[in-house]
Amino acid sequence: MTERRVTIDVPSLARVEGEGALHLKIEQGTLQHLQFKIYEPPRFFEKFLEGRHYSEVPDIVARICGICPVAYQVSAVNALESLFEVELTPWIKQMRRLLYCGEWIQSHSLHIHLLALPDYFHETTVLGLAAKQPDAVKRGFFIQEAGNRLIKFLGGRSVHPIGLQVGGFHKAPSLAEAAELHRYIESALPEAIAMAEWVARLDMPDEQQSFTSVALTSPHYPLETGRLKSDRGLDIGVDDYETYFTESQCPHSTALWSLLKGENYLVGPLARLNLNVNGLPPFLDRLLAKLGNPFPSQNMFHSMLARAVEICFALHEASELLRNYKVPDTPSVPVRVKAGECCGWSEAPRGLLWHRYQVDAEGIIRAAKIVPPTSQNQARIEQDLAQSLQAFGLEHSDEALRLHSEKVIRNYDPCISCATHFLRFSAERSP
Amino acid sequence: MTIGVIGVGSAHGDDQIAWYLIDQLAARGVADNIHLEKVLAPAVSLIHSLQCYERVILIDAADMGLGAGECTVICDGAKVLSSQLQGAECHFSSHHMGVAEMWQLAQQLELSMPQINLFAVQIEHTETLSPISHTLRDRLPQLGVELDALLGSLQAGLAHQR
Repeated sequence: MTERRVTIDVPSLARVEGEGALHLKIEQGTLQHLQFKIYEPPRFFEKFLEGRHYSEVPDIVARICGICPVAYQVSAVNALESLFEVELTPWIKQMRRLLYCGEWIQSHSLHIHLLALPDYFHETTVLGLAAKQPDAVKRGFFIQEAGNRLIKFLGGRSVHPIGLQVGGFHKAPSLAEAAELHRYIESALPEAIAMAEWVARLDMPDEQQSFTSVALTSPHYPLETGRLKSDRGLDIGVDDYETYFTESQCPHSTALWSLLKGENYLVGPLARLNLNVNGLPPFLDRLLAKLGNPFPSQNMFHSMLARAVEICFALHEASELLRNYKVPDTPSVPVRVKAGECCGWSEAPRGLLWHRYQVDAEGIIRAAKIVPPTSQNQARIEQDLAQSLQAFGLEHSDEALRLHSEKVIRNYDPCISCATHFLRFSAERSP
Repeated sequence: MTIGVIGVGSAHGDDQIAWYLIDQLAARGVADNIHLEKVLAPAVSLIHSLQCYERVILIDAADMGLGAGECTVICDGAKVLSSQLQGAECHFSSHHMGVAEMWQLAQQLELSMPQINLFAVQIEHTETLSPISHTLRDRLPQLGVELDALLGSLQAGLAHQR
């Protein structure tokens, strides 16, 4: 018998945040082995936090990611404020939500236009996409700028913002700044709706898979708070997270793997929309109805539409929050330090982000644990790849398999840098 | 007419030089029509920043084969960026997108861009998370003088146009 072994290597996965690799082994037309490898060195942020004062935490954790720093900050302050029994003012709660809207808008826009869309136009970069769809790319950047401006408004700058603190914000923006920002947000919303309609018309693979969606839920669509639910009966508060979710080390990855009672699960925009589709504002109900609402969906390729819908939601929410903006007497409330252990979470653009801290009586962090969305999606990505590649057809060329694998992985918008950090691809085949 | 002075840098060694120069300008104060910006990861946000101004000084660390701390001013920065991009390998992931990629994308989209003056400073090292080198720190006053001269000539040019 003639043996045909094929090695398919994606040595560095393009257009994802960070650096990763994929190895495939195909024997007699069957997928024998698949590994989504995260090989960036560990970044030890949890260790950096030990011995630091609680007030330094928001600025340190913001450095974990240049795309979703707000999520890290908000999960951290949620944890510490629960321990210190801080009563936030309505203004602070609203502005935390507004800041979070900014992060969703800029991160989702970046992912759709810079990272994911080129696949659907047979292009390798946004530059090729810009040649074919210049208006769509310009529109995407216009929308993304809305997110950048929102983050700068409350965070002082759009990358690694520094405006947030335990107990509130360092500074309240002026009415004039709020009014100018509100005008931009109002102009971006119709553009986002047009973008969502355009994304809905793209030809997406129809691949139904079985997976568990896990996301925060709240009556007003979850961003910075909520209860954690799944579409298979999970319903827990933040302190119970570790009773259900466990992290373990896999030899082929420098990021930890998180499982829900031993099984993989999905976090992120598709999971969020699957669990919260009934919590959208009426204009989005009407938009989704017009688009033949596919949510809840078990097709991972609907993730891009989920991001587009969430951009519309976040712009609308931001507009509402800015409409009645008032400068508060104080942008923060006093904090009384207390020793103990505390947990906090929020919905990062890529999914649930959970933090736990141990704090001593002086307010010094003695231990920290951070579970980012990409760690939670790693096992799901491997399962999805195995199913999706079989459905796509393993007889395809190595190049076609590589491109399809990358497209599948990009649905998750993995932030490999957060989880530790692009795709090395290798495959072995024998007939 | 507004002039943007945009410092592109990172936290790594001499790549911080542009931020130091922006801080130096901010500390001594600038005219009302001059806006100072420090940029970390240029990417798409730089396209928006550039479109806000009629004239831009883009300060960036560079390895040009000069002595450490020496600077070069390229008054037609756009032309240089365009010519340098011929055949160059560009990276469009959000972690790798720099000034060159941003410029290529802006050209592809036929966006209206201001006149750009590149103020490039020769680096000594860009070791990860290390402080700026003593050589570049010592050169800060002189670099400030040269930046002032460039700003002065841009202001004079704008006044002449008016």
